[in-house]
Amino acid sequence: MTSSDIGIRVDPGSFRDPANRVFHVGDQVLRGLDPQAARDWAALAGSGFFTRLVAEGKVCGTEQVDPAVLPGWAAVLRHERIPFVSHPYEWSFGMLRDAALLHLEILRRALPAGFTTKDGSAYNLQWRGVTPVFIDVGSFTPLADGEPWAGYRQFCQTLLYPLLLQAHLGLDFQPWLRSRVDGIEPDQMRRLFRGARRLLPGVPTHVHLHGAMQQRNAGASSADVRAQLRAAGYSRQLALATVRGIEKLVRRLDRREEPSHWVDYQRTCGYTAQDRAEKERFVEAAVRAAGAPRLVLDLGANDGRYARIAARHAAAVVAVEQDPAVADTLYRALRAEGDQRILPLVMDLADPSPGGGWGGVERAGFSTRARAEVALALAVVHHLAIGRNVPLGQVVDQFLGCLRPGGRLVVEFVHPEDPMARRLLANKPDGLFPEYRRDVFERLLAARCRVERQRELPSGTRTLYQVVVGD
Amino acid sequence: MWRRSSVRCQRNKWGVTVEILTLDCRWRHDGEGRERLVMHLAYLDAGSGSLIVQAVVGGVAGAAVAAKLYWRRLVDRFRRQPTDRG
Repeated sequence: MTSSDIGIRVDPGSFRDPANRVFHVGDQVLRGLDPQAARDWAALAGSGFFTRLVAEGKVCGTEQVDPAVLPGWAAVLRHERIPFVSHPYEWSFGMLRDAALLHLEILRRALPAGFTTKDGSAYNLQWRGVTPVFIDVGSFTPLADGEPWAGYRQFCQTLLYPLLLQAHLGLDFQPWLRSRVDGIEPDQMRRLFRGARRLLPGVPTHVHLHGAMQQRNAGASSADVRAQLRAAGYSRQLALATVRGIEKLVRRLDRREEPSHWVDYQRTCGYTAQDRAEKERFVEAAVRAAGAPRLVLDLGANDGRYARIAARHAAAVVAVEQDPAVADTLYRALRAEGDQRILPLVMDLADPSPGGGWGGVERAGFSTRARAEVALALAVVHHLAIGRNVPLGQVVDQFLGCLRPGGRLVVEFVHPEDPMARRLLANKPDGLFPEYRRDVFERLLAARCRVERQRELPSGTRTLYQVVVGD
Repeated sequence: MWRRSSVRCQRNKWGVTVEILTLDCRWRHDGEGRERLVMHLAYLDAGSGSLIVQAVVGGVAGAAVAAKLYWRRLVDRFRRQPTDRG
Protein backbone atom coordinates (compact mmCIF):
# COMPACT_ATOMS: atom_id res chain seq x y z
CA MET A 1 0.00 0.00 0.00
CA THR A 2 1.51 3.35 -1.00
CA SER A 3 1.21 6.68 0.75
CA SER A 4 -1.19 7.93 -1.89
CA ASP A 5 -3.42 4.91 -1.26
CA ILE A 6 -3.99 6.02 2.32
CA GLY A 7 -4.41 9.69 1.37
CA ILE A 8 -0.98 10.94 2.44
CA ARG A 9 0.43 13.62 0.17
CA VAL A 10 4.07 14.70 0.51
CA ASP A 11 4.54 18.46 0.49
CA PRO A 12 6.82 19.05 -2.53
CA GLY A 13 8.48 22.02 -0.82
CA SER A 14 9.77 20.26 2.29
CA PHE A 15 12.58 17.99 1.06
CA ARG A 16 15.54 20.28 1.72
CA ASP A 17 16.13 19.13 5.31
CA PRO A 18 16.20 15.31 5.28
CA ALA A 19 15.68 15.21 9.08
CA ASN A 20 11.99 16.04 8.70
CA ARG A 21 9.31 16.23 6.04
CA VAL A 22 5.87 17.76 5.74
CA PHE A 23 2.83 15.75 4.64
CA HIS A 24 -0.82 16.55 4.01
CA VAL A 25 -3.50 14.13 5.13
CA GLY A 26 -6.91 15.51 4.29
CA ASP A 27 -6.98 18.97 5.83
CA GLN A 28 -4.21 18.15 8.31
CA VAL A 29 -0.62 19.35 8.00
CA LEU A 30 1.74 16.77 9.51
CA ARG A 31 5.53 16.71 9.93
CA GLY A 32 7.49 13.49 10.21
CA LEU A 33 10.69 13.64 12.30
CA ASP A 34 13.68 11.29 12.14
CA PRO A 35 15.13 10.00 15.47
CA GLN A 36 17.51 12.97 15.96
CA ALA A 37 14.83 15.52 15.03
CA ALA A 38 12.44 13.76 17.43
CA ARG A 39 14.95 14.20 20.28
CA ASP A 40 15.40 17.89 19.33
CA TRP A 41 11.61 18.30 19.32
CA ALA A 42 11.32 16.75 22.80
CA ALA A 43 13.83 19.29 24.12
CA LEU A 44 12.15 22.16 22.23
CA ALA A 45 8.64 21.29 23.42
CA GLY A 46 9.87 21.40 27.02
CA SER A 47 11.49 24.82 26.64
CA GLY A 48 9.71 27.92 27.90
CA PHE A 49 10.69 30.19 25.01
CA PHE A 50 9.05 27.92 22.41
CA THR A 51 5.82 27.60 24.39
CA ARG A 52 5.66 31.39 24.75
CA LEU A 53 6.31 31.95 21.02
CA VAL A 54 3.47 29.56 20.13
CA ALA A 55 1.15 31.22 22.68
CA GLU A 56 1.95 34.65 21.20
CA GLY A 57 1.10 33.32 17.72
CA LYS A 58 4.63 33.92 16.44
CA VAL A 59 5.28 30.24 15.77
CA CYS A 60 2.55 28.11 14.22
CA GLY A 61 0.56 25.96 16.63
CA THR A 62 2.12 22.50 16.88
CA GLU A 63 1.26 19.32 18.77
CA GLN A 64 2.68 15.82 18.78
CA VAL A 65 0.38 13.09 17.47
CA ASP A 66 0.46 9.31 17.20
CA PRO A 67 3.43 8.41 14.96
CA ALA A 68 1.39 5.61 13.40
CA VAL A 69 -0.28 8.19 11.11
CA LEU A 70 3.02 8.53 9.17
CA PRO A 71 4.73 5.15 8.92
CA GLY A 72 8.54 5.28 8.94
CA TRP A 73 9.00 8.39 11.07
CA ALA A 74 10.18 8.43 14.71
CA ALA A 75 7.73 11.16 15.72
CA VAL A 76 4.93 13.08 14.04
CA LEU A 77 3.78 16.66 14.64
CA ARG A 78 0.53 18.27 13.56
CA HIS A 79 0.68 21.95 12.63
CA GLU A 80 -1.98 24.61 12.61
CA ARG A 81 -3.24 25.19 9.07
CA ILE A 82 -2.23 28.47 7.43
CA PRO A 83 -5.22 29.98 5.53
CA PHE A 84 -3.30 30.63 2.29
CA VAL A 85 0.29 29.71 1.50
CA SER A 86 2.17 32.60 -0.11
CA HIS A 87 5.74 33.09 -1.28
CA PRO A 88 8.18 35.92 -0.44
CA TYR A 89 8.08 37.20 -4.03
CA GLU A 90 4.36 37.86 -3.49
CA TRP A 91 4.96 40.00 -0.42
CA SER A 92 5.32 43.76 -0.26
CA PHE A 93 8.36 45.51 1.21
CA GLY A 94 6.73 45.99 4.62
CA MET A 95 5.72 42.34 4.68
CA LEU A 96 9.22 41.12 3.88
CA ARG A 97 10.67 43.44 6.52
CA ASP A 98 8.22 42.30 9.20
CA ALA A 99 8.89 38.67 8.25
CA ALA A 100 12.65 39.31 8.59
CA LEU A 101 12.15 40.97 11.98
CA LEU A 102 10.07 38.03 13.21
CA HIS A 103 12.75 35.57 12.11
CA LEU A 104 15.38 37.60 13.97
CA GLU A 105 13.19 37.92 17.08
CA ILE A 106 12.68 34.16 17.17
CA LEU A 107 16.41 33.59 16.89
CA ARG A 108 17.14 36.25 19.54
CA ARG A 109 14.76 34.51 21.95
CA ALA A 110 15.98 31.01 21.06
CA LEU A 111 19.69 31.67 21.65
CA PRO A 112 19.57 32.33 25.43
CA ALA A 113 17.46 29.16 25.77
CA GLY A 114 20.17 27.12 24.04
CA PHE A 115 18.48 26.79 20.63
CA THR A 116 19.13 28.14 17.17
CA THR A 117 17.63 27.64 13.70
CA LYS A 118 19.31 25.50 11.06
CA ASP A 119 18.43 27.92 8.31
CA GLY A 120 17.36 31.53 7.80
CA SER A 121 15.10 31.31 4.78
CA ALA A 122 12.22 33.65 4.04
CA TYR A 123 10.26 30.48 3.24
CA ASN A 124 10.28 29.71 6.99
CA LEU A 125 7.54 32.32 7.33
CA GLN A 126 3.89 32.51 6.36
CA TRP A 127 0.96 34.80 7.18
CA ARG A 128 -2.26 34.79 9.16
CA GLY A 129 -3.84 37.89 7.66
CA VAL A 130 -1.20 40.58 8.10
CA THR A 131 0.54 38.77 10.97
CA PRO A 132 3.70 36.83 10.10
CA VAL A 133 4.12 33.39 11.59
CA PHE A 134 7.18 31.14 11.72
CA ILE A 135 6.20 27.74 10.34
CA ASP A 136 9.42 25.73 10.12
CA VAL A 137 9.37 24.08 13.55
CA GLY A 138 11.81 21.47 12.21
CA SER A 139 14.40 24.22 11.85
CA PHE A 140 14.93 24.56 15.63
CA THR A 141 18.00 22.71 16.83
CA PRO A 142 20.09 22.78 20.03
CA LEU A 143 22.80 25.43 19.93
CA ALA A 144 26.43 24.35 20.04
CA ASP A 145 28.21 27.06 22.01
CA GLY A 146 30.76 29.04 20.05
CA GLU A 147 29.02 28.61 16.70
CA PRO A 148 27.65 31.45 14.58
CA TRP A 149 24.19 31.24 13.02
CA ALA A 150 24.14 28.72 10.17
CA GLY A 151 21.16 30.52 8.61
CA TYR A 152 22.88 33.90 8.18
CA ARG A 153 23.77 33.35 4.51
CA GLN A 154 20.19 32.35 3.65
CA PHE A 155 18.82 35.23 5.69
CA CYS A 156 20.93 37.65 3.66
CA GLN A 157 20.00 36.07 0.32
CA THR A 158 16.25 35.76 0.84
CA LEU A 159 15.46 38.58 3.28
CA LEU A 160 18.15 41.18 3.87
CA TYR A 161 19.40 41.67 0.30
CA PRO A 162 15.90 42.05 -1.21
CA LEU A 163 15.20 44.69 1.45
CA LEU A 164 18.46 46.50 0.66
CA LEU A 165 17.59 46.52 -3.05
CA GLN A 166 14.29 48.27 -2.39
CA ALA A 167 15.42 50.57 0.41
CA HIS A 168 18.68 51.77 -1.14
CA LEU A 169 18.09 51.47 -4.89
CA GLY A 170 14.28 51.68 -5.17
CA LEU A 171 14.21 48.36 -7.08
CA ASP A 172 11.27 46.03 -6.57
CA PHE A 173 12.72 42.84 -5.11
CA GLN A 174 9.87 40.51 -6.15
CA PRO A 175 11.20 39.60 -9.62
CA TRP A 176 14.62 38.77 -8.11
CA LEU A 177 13.17 36.39 -5.55
CA ARG A 178 10.73 34.87 -8.02
CA SER A 179 13.51 33.96 -10.44
CA ARG A 180 15.90 32.56 -7.82
CA VAL A 181 14.53 30.17 -5.22
CA ASP A 182 17.69 30.54 -3.10
CA GLY A 183 17.64 34.32 -3.23
CA ILE A 184 20.22 36.88 -4.33
CA GLU A 185 23.90 35.99 -3.89
CA PRO A 186 26.44 38.40 -2.34
CA ASP A 187 28.41 38.39 -5.57
CA GLN A 188 25.41 39.78 -7.47
CA MET A 189 24.74 42.38 -4.81
CA ARG A 190 28.34 43.62 -4.85
CA ARG A 191 28.02 44.58 -8.50
CA LEU A 192 24.91 46.63 -7.76
CA PHE A 193 26.51 48.51 -4.86
CA ARG A 194 29.62 50.10 -6.29
CA GLY A 195 31.08 53.59 -5.82
CA ALA A 196 29.46 55.65 -3.07
CA ARG A 197 26.73 53.03 -2.72
CA ARG A 198 29.28 50.83 -0.95
CA LEU A 199 28.82 53.04 2.11
CA LEU A 200 25.04 52.72 2.44
CA PRO A 201 23.80 51.14 5.71
CA GLY A 202 24.41 47.41 5.82
CA VAL A 203 26.28 47.33 2.52
CA PRO A 204 29.95 47.43 3.66
CA THR A 205 29.57 44.43 5.97
CA HIS A 206 26.63 42.29 4.84
CA VAL A 207 27.27 42.74 1.12
CA HIS A 208 30.92 43.55 0.35
CA LEU A 209 32.69 41.98 3.32
CA HIS A 210 30.36 38.99 3.15
CA GLY A 211 31.04 38.46 -0.55
CA ALA A 212 34.78 38.90 -0.10
CA MET A 213 34.84 36.50 2.87
CA GLN A 214 32.93 33.90 0.88
CA GLN A 215 35.47 34.08 -1.91
CA ARG A 216 38.51 34.05 0.39
CA ASN A 217 37.19 31.11 2.41
CA ALA A 218 35.65 29.13 -0.41
CA GLY A 219 38.20 26.36 0.09
CA ALA A 220 37.74 26.09 3.86
CA SER A 221 35.17 23.66 5.20
CA SER A 222 32.39 25.02 7.43
CA ALA A 223 33.34 22.52 10.14
CA ASP A 224 36.96 23.79 10.23
CA VAL A 225 35.85 27.42 10.37
CA ARG A 226 33.40 26.64 13.17
CA ALA A 227 36.21 25.05 15.18
CA GLN A 228 38.51 28.02 14.50
CA LEU A 229 35.85 30.51 15.58
CA ARG A 230 35.16 28.53 18.74
CA ALA A 231 38.88 28.46 19.56
CA ALA A 232 39.09 32.22 18.91
CA GLY A 233 36.40 32.85 21.52
CA TYR A 234 33.14 33.21 19.54
CA SER A 235 30.41 33.08 22.17
CA ARG A 236 26.64 32.99 22.52
CA GLN A 237 26.74 36.65 23.61
CA LEU A 238 28.49 37.51 20.39
CA ALA A 239 25.86 35.60 18.40
CA LEU A 240 23.19 37.63 20.22
CA ALA A 241 25.01 40.89 19.49
CA THR A 242 25.12 39.92 15.80
CA VAL A 243 21.37 39.27 15.73
CA ARG A 244 20.66 42.58 17.48
CA GLY A 245 22.89 44.37 14.98
CA ILE A 246 20.99 42.90 12.03
CA GLU A 247 17.65 43.72 13.70
CA LYS A 248 18.72 47.34 14.14
CA LEU A 249 19.69 47.54 10.47
CA VAL A 250 16.45 45.95 9.22
CA ARG A 251 14.36 48.38 11.33
CA ARG A 252 16.15 51.31 9.65
CA LEU A 253 15.32 50.12 6.14
CA ASP A 254 12.23 51.54 4.50
CA ARG A 255 10.64 51.56 1.09
CA ARG A 256 11.67 54.37 -1.23
CA GLU A 257 8.56 56.20 -2.38
CA GLU A 258 8.19 56.02 -6.15
CA PRO A 259 5.22 57.59 -7.98
CA SER A 260 2.61 55.02 -8.97
CA HIS A 261 -0.48 55.39 -11.14
CA TRP A 262 -2.38 52.89 -9.01
CA VAL A 263 -1.77 54.51 -5.61
CA ASP A 264 -4.46 57.10 -6.34
CA TYR A 265 -6.68 54.84 -8.45
CA GLN A 266 -9.76 54.82 -6.22
CA ARG A 267 -9.89 58.60 -6.24
CA THR A 268 -9.28 58.98 -9.99
CA CYS A 269 -11.22 56.00 -11.39
CA GLY A 270 -14.44 57.95 -11.86
CA TYR A 271 -17.04 56.14 -9.75
CA THR A 272 -20.01 58.13 -8.53
CA ALA A 273 -21.06 57.77 -4.91
CA GLN A 274 -24.20 55.91 -6.05
CA ASP A 275 -22.14 53.49 -8.16
CA ARG A 276 -19.84 52.79 -5.25
CA ALA A 277 -22.68 52.22 -2.77
CA GLU A 278 -24.48 49.92 -5.19
CA LYS A 279 -21.31 47.97 -5.88
CA GLU A 280 -20.59 47.54 -2.16
CA ARG A 281 -24.10 46.20 -1.55
CA PHE A 282 -23.79 43.78 -4.47
CA VAL A 283 -20.40 42.43 -3.28
CA GLU A 284 -21.50 42.06 0.34
CA ALA A 285 -24.65 40.14 -0.67
CA ALA A 286 -22.60 37.81 -2.90
CA VAL A 287 -20.11 36.95 -0.16
CA ARG A 288 -22.90 36.50 2.38
CA ALA A 289 -24.70 34.17 -0.04
CA ALA A 290 -21.63 31.92 -0.02
CA GLY A 291 -22.28 31.21 3.69
CA ALA A 292 -19.16 32.10 5.69
CA PRO A 293 -16.63 31.12 3.01
CA ARG A 294 -13.20 29.92 4.14
CA LEU A 295 -11.36 31.81 1.41
CA VAL A 296 -12.25 34.81 -0.73
CA LEU A 297 -9.90 36.09 -3.44
CA ASP A 298 -10.02 39.75 -4.36
CA LEU A 299 -8.31 39.89 -7.75
CA GLY A 300 -7.16 43.46 -8.35
CA ALA A 301 -7.68 44.67 -4.79
CA ASN A 302 -6.17 48.18 -5.02
CA ASP A 303 -6.86 49.87 -1.64
CA GLY A 304 -8.73 46.83 -0.30
CA ARG A 305 -12.19 48.42 -0.11
CA TYR A 306 -13.97 45.26 -1.28
CA ALA A 307 -11.56 42.89 0.48
CA ARG A 308 -12.60 44.57 3.74
CA ILE A 309 -16.28 44.07 2.90
CA ALA A 310 -15.64 40.39 2.09
CA ALA A 311 -13.70 39.96 5.35
CA ARG A 312 -16.88 40.74 7.32
CA HIS A 313 -18.25 37.37 6.23
CA ALA A 314 -15.22 35.24 5.29
CA ALA A 315 -12.59 33.46 7.38
CA ALA A 316 -9.76 34.65 5.12
CA VAL A 317 -9.40 37.06 2.21
CA VAL A 318 -6.44 37.23 -0.14
CA ALA A 319 -6.18 40.67 -1.73
CA VAL A 320 -4.12 40.40 -4.93
CA GLU A 321 -2.67 43.65 -6.25
CA GLN A 322 -0.12 44.04 -9.03
CA ASP A 323 1.48 47.27 -7.83
CA PRO A 324 4.00 46.62 -5.00
CA ALA A 325 3.59 50.16 -3.63
CA VAL A 326 -0.22 49.87 -3.49
CA ALA A 327 -0.02 46.43 -1.87
CA ASP A 328 2.44 47.80 0.69
CA THR A 329 0.17 50.73 1.52
CA LEU A 330 -2.71 48.28 1.98
CA TYR A 331 -0.55 46.04 4.20
CA ARG A 332 0.44 48.95 6.44
CA ALA A 333 -3.16 50.18 6.65
CA LEU A 334 -4.44 46.72 7.60
CA ARG A 335 -1.70 46.38 10.24
CA ALA A 336 -2.73 49.75 11.69
CA GLU A 337 -6.38 48.67 11.72
CA GLY A 338 -5.51 45.41 13.51
CA ASP A 339 -7.11 43.35 10.74
CA GLN A 340 -6.74 39.58 11.19
CA ARG A 341 -8.25 38.19 7.99
CA ILE A 342 -6.91 39.96 4.92
CA LEU A 343 -3.60 38.93 3.32
CA PRO A 344 -2.39 41.43 0.68
CA LEU A 345 -0.22 39.92 -2.06
CA VAL A 346 1.74 41.43 -4.94
CA MET A 347 0.95 39.70 -8.22
CA ASP A 348 0.15 40.70 -11.78
CA LEU A 349 -2.97 38.83 -12.92
CA ALA A 350 -1.57 38.79 -16.45
CA ASP A 351 1.60 37.14 -15.14
CA PRO A 352 0.59 35.05 -12.10
CA SER A 353 3.22 33.30 -9.96
CA PRO A 354 4.36 30.16 -11.75
CA GLY A 355 5.51 26.99 -10.01
CA GLY A 356 9.15 27.31 -8.95
CA GLY A 357 12.12 25.48 -7.48
CA TRP A 358 12.80 21.78 -7.96
CA GLY A 359 10.59 20.22 -10.61
CA GLY A 360 8.65 23.46 -10.83
CA VAL A 361 6.54 22.33 -7.85
CA GLU A 362 8.71 23.13 -4.82
CA ARG A 363 6.99 26.52 -4.69
CA ALA A 364 3.45 26.01 -5.94
CA GLY A 365 2.13 28.36 -8.60
CA PHE A 366 -0.81 30.64 -7.86
CA SER A 367 -3.25 28.60 -9.92
CA THR A 368 -2.45 25.51 -7.81
CA ARG A 369 -3.03 27.35 -4.52
CA ALA A 370 -6.05 29.41 -5.52
CA ARG A 371 -9.10 27.34 -4.59
CA ALA A 372 -11.56 29.86 -3.21
CA GLU A 373 -15.26 29.78 -2.42
CA VAL A 374 -15.64 33.31 -3.76
CA ALA A 375 -13.54 35.36 -6.19
CA LEU A 376 -14.03 39.08 -6.77
CA ALA A 377 -12.87 40.47 -10.12
CA LEU A 378 -13.94 44.09 -9.92
CA ALA A 379 -12.84 46.59 -12.54
CA VAL A 380 -10.10 44.30 -13.86
CA VAL A 381 -11.63 42.70 -16.98
CA HIS A 382 -10.96 45.77 -19.16
CA HIS A 383 -7.35 46.06 -17.91
CA LEU A 384 -6.69 42.45 -18.94
CA ALA A 385 -8.77 42.34 -22.13
CA ILE A 386 -7.88 45.79 -23.52
CA GLY A 387 -4.75 46.75 -21.59
CA ARG A 388 -3.02 43.36 -21.91
CA ASN A 389 -4.80 42.00 -25.03
CA VAL A 390 -5.94 38.79 -23.25
CA PRO A 391 -8.91 37.24 -25.15
CA LEU A 392 -12.11 37.89 -23.19
CA GLY A 393 -12.98 34.18 -22.86
CA GLN A 394 -9.56 33.44 -21.36
CA VAL A 395 -10.01 36.25 -18.84
CA VAL A 396 -13.24 34.61 -17.66
CA ASP A 397 -11.56 31.18 -17.61
CA GLN A 398 -8.75 32.44 -15.38
CA PHE A 399 -11.19 33.87 -12.85
CA LEU A 400 -13.29 30.70 -12.80
CA GLY A 401 -10.10 28.62 -12.43
CA CYS A 402 -9.54 30.19 -9.00
CA LEU A 403 -12.76 28.69 -7.63
CA ARG A 404 -13.68 25.42 -5.96
CA PRO A 405 -16.64 23.54 -7.48
CA GLY A 406 -19.76 25.43 -6.50
CA GLY A 407 -17.75 28.63 -5.96
CA ARG A 408 -19.02 32.08 -6.83
CA LEU A 409 -17.47 34.75 -9.00
CA VAL A 410 -18.41 38.40 -8.74
CA VAL A 411 -17.21 40.09 -11.89
CA GLU A 412 -17.61 43.63 -13.16
CA PHE A 413 -17.79 44.34 -16.88
CA VAL A 414 -16.84 47.88 -17.83
CA HIS A 415 -18.71 48.76 -21.02
CA PRO A 416 -16.67 50.03 -24.02
CA GLU A 417 -18.31 53.45 -23.65
CA ASP A 418 -17.17 53.86 -20.00
CA PRO A 419 -14.53 56.64 -19.61
CA MET A 420 -11.90 54.20 -18.22
CA ALA A 421 -12.45 51.71 -21.06
CA ARG A 422 -12.38 54.55 -23.60
CA ARG A 423 -9.07 55.74 -22.16
CA LEU A 424 -7.57 52.25 -22.59
CA LEU A 425 -9.03 51.84 -26.10
CA ALA A 426 -7.63 55.22 -27.13
CA ASN A 427 -4.11 53.82 -26.74
CA LYS A 428 -4.79 50.91 -29.10
CA PRO A 429 -5.30 50.84 -32.89
CA ASP A 430 -8.94 51.41 -33.93
CA GLY A 431 -11.08 48.31 -34.20
CA LEU A 432 -8.61 46.03 -32.39
CA PHE A 433 -11.20 44.76 -29.91
CA PRO A 434 -14.49 44.25 -31.80
CA GLU A 435 -15.41 41.43 -29.36
CA TYR A 436 -15.09 43.63 -26.28
CA ARG A 437 -18.85 44.06 -25.88
CA ARG A 438 -21.33 43.43 -23.10
CA ASP A 439 -23.37 40.89 -25.12
CA VAL A 440 -20.23 38.88 -25.95
CA PHE A 441 -19.17 38.91 -22.30
CA GLU A 442 -22.60 37.70 -21.18
CA ARG A 443 -22.53 34.92 -23.77
CA LEU A 444 -19.10 33.79 -22.51
CA LEU A 445 -20.36 33.74 -18.92
CA ALA A 446 -23.51 31.82 -19.80
CA ALA A 447 -21.47 29.17 -21.63
CA ARG A 448 -19.31 28.50 -18.58
CA CYS A 449 -21.43 29.03 -15.49
CA ARG A 450 -24.84 30.01 -14.18
CA VAL A 451 -25.57 33.71 -13.73
CA GLU A 452 -27.35 34.09 -10.37
CA ARG A 453 -27.92 37.83 -10.61
CA GLN A 454 -26.66 40.91 -12.38
CA ARG A 455 -26.94 44.63 -11.81
CA GLU A 456 -26.09 47.62 -13.93
CA LEU A 457 -24.58 50.43 -11.88
CA PRO A 458 -26.49 53.78 -11.86
CA SER A 459 -23.96 55.44 -14.20
CA GLY A 460 -25.06 52.91 -16.88
CA THR A 461 -21.55 52.03 -18.07
CA ARG A 462 -20.69 49.12 -15.75
CA THR A 463 -22.49 45.87 -14.95
CA LEU A 464 -21.89 43.46 -12.06
CA TYR A 465 -22.51 39.72 -12.37
CA GLN A 466 -22.70 37.07 -9.68
CA VAL A 467 -22.14 33.63 -11.18
CA VAL A 468 -21.79 30.15 -9.74
CA VAL A 469 -19.69 27.34 -11.21
CA GLY A 470 -20.08 23.59 -11.35
CA ASP A 471 -23.37 23.04 -9.55
CA MET B 1 32.96 27.55 -19.90
CA TRP B 2 33.82 25.80 -16.63
CA ARG B 3 36.99 24.51 -15.08
CA ARG B 4 37.87 23.53 -11.53
CA SER B 5 40.71 24.77 -9.45
CA SER B 6 41.79 23.44 -6.07
CA VAL B 7 44.12 24.04 -3.15
CA ARG B 8 47.66 23.16 -4.16
CA CYS B 9 50.96 23.70 -2.35
CA GLN B 10 54.32 23.71 -4.09
CA ARG B 11 57.87 24.35 -2.86
CA ASN B 12 59.92 26.76 -4.99
CA LYS B 13 63.66 26.59 -5.65
CA TRP B 14 64.43 28.38 -2.36
CA GLY B 15 62.51 25.72 -0.45
CA VAL B 16 59.57 28.03 0.48
CA THR B 17 56.11 26.54 0.34
CA VAL B 18 53.79 28.60 -1.87
CA GLU B 19 50.05 28.25 -1.95
CA ILE B 20 49.26 28.21 -5.65
CA LEU B 21 45.51 28.60 -5.22
CA THR B 22 43.52 28.95 -2.07
CA LEU B 23 40.15 28.54 -3.70
CA ASP B 24 38.21 25.37 -4.28
CA CYS B 25 35.47 26.49 -6.51
CA ARG B 26 34.55 27.10 -10.13
CA TRP B 27 35.48 29.80 -12.58
CA ARG B 28 33.29 30.97 -15.42
CA HIS B 29 33.86 33.42 -18.27
CA ASP B 30 31.62 36.43 -17.83
CA GLY B 31 31.32 37.13 -21.54
CA GLU B 32 33.74 40.06 -21.45
CA GLY B 33 36.90 37.97 -21.50
CA ARG B 34 37.17 37.88 -17.70
CA GLU B 35 36.74 34.92 -15.44
CA ARG B 36 34.39 35.13 -12.51
CA LEU B 37 34.34 33.01 -9.40
CA VAL B 38 31.09 31.09 -8.96
CA MET B 39 30.26 29.30 -5.72
CA HIS B 40 27.39 26.94 -5.22
CA LEU B 41 26.60 26.35 -1.59
CA ALA B 42 24.24 23.63 -0.45
CA TYR B 43 20.94 24.51 1.22
CA LEU B 44 21.97 23.75 4.79
CA ASP B 45 25.61 24.76 4.22
CA ALA B 46 26.28 27.78 6.40
CA GLY B 47 29.16 28.88 4.14
CA SER B 48 32.61 29.38 5.69
CA GLY B 49 32.85 33.05 4.78
CA SER B 50 29.31 33.66 6.02
CA LEU B 51 30.28 32.24 9.41
CA ILE B 52 33.33 34.48 9.78
CA VAL B 53 31.60 37.69 8.68
CA GLN B 54 29.10 37.27 11.52
CA ALA B 55 31.91 37.80 14.01
CA VAL B 56 32.71 41.15 12.38
CA VAL B 57 29.03 42.16 12.37
CA GLY B 58 28.91 41.50 16.12
CA GLY B 59 30.80 44.72 16.91
CA VAL B 60 34.19 45.34 18.51
CA ALA B 61 34.26 42.06 20.44
CA GLY B 62 33.34 40.19 17.27
CA ALA B 63 36.01 41.94 15.24
CA ALA B 64 38.52 40.89 17.92
CA VAL B 65 37.41 37.26 17.50
CA ALA B 66 37.82 37.52 13.73
CA ALA B 67 41.28 39.09 14.16
CA LYS B 68 42.23 36.29 16.56
CA LEU B 69 41.04 33.69 14.05
CA TYR B 70 43.19 35.18 11.30
CA TRP B 71 46.17 35.59 13.64
CA ARG B 72 45.97 31.89 14.58
CA ARG B 73 45.72 30.90 10.93
CA LEU B 74 48.87 32.91 10.19
CA VAL B 75 50.76 31.47 13.14
CA ASP B 76 49.66 27.94 12.22
CA ARG B 77 50.95 28.42 8.70
CA PHE B 78 54.43 29.39 9.91
CA ARG B 79 54.41 26.60 12.48
CA ARG B 80 53.67 24.02 9.80
CA GLN B 81 56.54 25.01 7.54
CA PRO B 82 59.45 23.41 9.50
CA THR B 83 57.49 20.13 9.47
CA ASP B 84 57.00 20.46 5.69
CA ARG B 85 60.75 20.88 5.20
CA GLY B 86 61.67 18.09 7.55
